[in-house]
Amino acid sequence: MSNKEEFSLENSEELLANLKAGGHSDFEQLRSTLNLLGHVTELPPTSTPPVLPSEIAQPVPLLPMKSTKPRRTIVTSVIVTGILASASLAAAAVTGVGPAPIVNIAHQTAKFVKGVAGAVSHIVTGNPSDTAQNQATSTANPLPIPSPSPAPPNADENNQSDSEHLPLIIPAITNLFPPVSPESNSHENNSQKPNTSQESPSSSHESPNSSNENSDSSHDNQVTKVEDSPTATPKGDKEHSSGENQKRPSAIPSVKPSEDNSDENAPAPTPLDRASPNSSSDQPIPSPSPSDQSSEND
Amino acid sequence: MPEKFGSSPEQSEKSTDAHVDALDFDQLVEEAIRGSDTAFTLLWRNFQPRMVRYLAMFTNEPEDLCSEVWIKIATSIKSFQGDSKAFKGWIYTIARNAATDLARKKQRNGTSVELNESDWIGENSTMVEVMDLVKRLPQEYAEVIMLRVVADLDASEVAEIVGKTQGNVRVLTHRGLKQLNEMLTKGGEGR
Repeated sequence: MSNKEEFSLENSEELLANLKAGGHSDFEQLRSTLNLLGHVTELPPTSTPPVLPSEIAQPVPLLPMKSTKPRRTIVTSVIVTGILASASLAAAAVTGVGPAPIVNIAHQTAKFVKGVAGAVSHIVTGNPSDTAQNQATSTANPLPIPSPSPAPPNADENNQSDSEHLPLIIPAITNLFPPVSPESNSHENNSQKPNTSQESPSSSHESPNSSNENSDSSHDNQVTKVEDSPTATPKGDKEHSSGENQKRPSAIPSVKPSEDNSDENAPAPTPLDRASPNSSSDQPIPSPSPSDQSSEND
Repeated sequence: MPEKFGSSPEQSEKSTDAHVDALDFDQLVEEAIRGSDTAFTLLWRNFQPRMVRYLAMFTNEPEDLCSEVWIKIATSIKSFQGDSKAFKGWIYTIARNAATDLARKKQRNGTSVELNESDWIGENSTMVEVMDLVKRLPQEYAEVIMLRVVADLDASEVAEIVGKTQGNVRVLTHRGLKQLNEMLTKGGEGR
């Protein structure tokens, strides 16, 4: 008990300082214990360290890096951002609703994807000339696609051309739901008034095939041609609104066979469908009769 | 007066590193930093037994942990800046951090660190008893005592390693030794 009372801070420091000296101490038991604790056996001279600096100088930087939590977070956020961006672009391309830059990008992307898909499909089918033509129609659309449905006056020629361009029908069908580009939108918006002003029920009844000969990719050119048509009449503000309402669902029936369209109960062709090159240039559109106008307004 | 490291004269005759044995500790550290494998081996031979004993306070497989520590030392010794005194504290800091990491890893995995002295002390029953006494002390007391006695560091070096002031280290050392002395006295009385 006397040791317990006497042992002070100075004693402890002195004890530690004199451990190696091996001198006597008032706390002999503690000193011997600490001596035993601090005594280590020497290693044999042949022993070597587990690794030497010269050996690990090169391999260490080549060790695979562990996947840390921040790295996982970054990778996950990048993947999620990509998925969200692609989903928003797809939604903008389908609906056409959203900020203008996003819709623009979506339309451009959709065009590109469409072109690539067409090219791939034609590579698979092995018709490179059609590929080029399809790409041209899907992007710039300089020439209207030949009508897949036969027209009465030159049915043989059309049939022949149909058989030649039969592979084009598939991409044309795939183009039925195109993302309408802002340019085409603006064209449509600008040209719908004159376009609808030309609408005549008689023309739609008289040449039902003209609505079938359209593809959506040739709308722009058709609209400009219709503007030059001499049969344009200032009528049709009412029809403009009705035609605009019918614009979206009109894309699908435009490729129906001519037999279906010959039915009187068939849905009225949209302004865009009516504004085909054949209807505007090949076949003169007769001026609308008042009775027809009234029937359509009804 | 420079501290001498290396083997005894008899051993140095057998050793191929005879030319390094005469070097003092400062030169040895400098050579090791420059990339000398011989100097590094001599440093390892000097520090390895003490480090194994120090790490035995944290784990029952101190030699495995010590190997990891030496790999870390070998990896980063070229970036070490300081004198030989700082080198001593540096390697024990690496050892302490490695022991702390291991304890955290085992805690996350749910495995407790059960120390078994016989794994590393061998047949020396006296050493087992001493280590058992030291481990009964509070962790901070035991650590400063091990660093001061086993690693042979002074209060300032220990203070740098454990992140406390010198005065705090002295107080902790004193309290630990006092408690150890009490245990020894009680054990002697009990016998």
